[in-house]
Amino acid sequence: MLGFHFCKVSGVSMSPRIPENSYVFIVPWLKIFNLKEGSLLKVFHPKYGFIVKTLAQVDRNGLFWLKGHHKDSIAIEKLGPVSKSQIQGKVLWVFPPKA
Amino acid sequence: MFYNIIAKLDKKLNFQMVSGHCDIPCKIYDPIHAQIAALTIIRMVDLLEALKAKPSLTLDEQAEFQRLVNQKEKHGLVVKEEINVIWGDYIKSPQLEKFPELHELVHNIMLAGSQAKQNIDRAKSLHLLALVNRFAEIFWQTKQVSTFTATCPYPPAEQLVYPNLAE
Repeated sequence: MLGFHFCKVSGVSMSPRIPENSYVFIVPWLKIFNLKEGSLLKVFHPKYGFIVKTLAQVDRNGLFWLKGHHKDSIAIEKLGPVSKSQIQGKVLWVFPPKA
Repeated sequence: MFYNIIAKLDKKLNFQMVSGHCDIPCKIYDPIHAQIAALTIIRMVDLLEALKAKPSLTLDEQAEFQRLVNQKEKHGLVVKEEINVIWGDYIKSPQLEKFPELHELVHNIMLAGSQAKQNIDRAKSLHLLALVNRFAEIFWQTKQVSTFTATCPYPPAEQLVYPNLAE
């Protein structure tokens, strides 16, 4: 409704870029622009639900491949590609918890 | 400061959770799943051997035969997957330097897993268990946890390597 929202991140898969329990500021409508590799995205994944991942690559079919940053993060090929309609927004800011 | 403000808003508005999503629960690795799956294969072989001894099978026994074979197949895959995950995700250079046999051991487990799936053969299943036990022994050594071998307190009552966590 406001054109943006906050989400809280669980799991260490995106650390150190997004430490566990960080808040992320998400702007859904920014997905209409060209998404670049390395962008942080909130995605609705059919198997894993709402996840936050980094855009690894856009393939020639226009599908989006996502990756985590931690060594235990689920592998790109296990996540599989997602379509633009599954992207829920772009993460604009990350607010990590105090160290 | 921003974090605290957002955290206060979160308490009131209950923001949606998004998961970073790890492959498995982070840093939780244990070869016991593979060991129990290897034991299950042996148990299935024992039960299949009992059916084999009968001159003919009733319809119920034929159904049981199918279930036993299915379980044997399923647990063969469990052994391979569990070992693969530990090998691929947990085992790194320091462990490989200390235990150079690891690559060959894992490859042998994959081969023995297939053999145990392909045959109703107790010796082949026991060989798989021995390899998985060795893998467990190495795994616990990498965590500086000593191990002991004991007979599992349930069928097929075979030797299993356990971590000595009370030490």
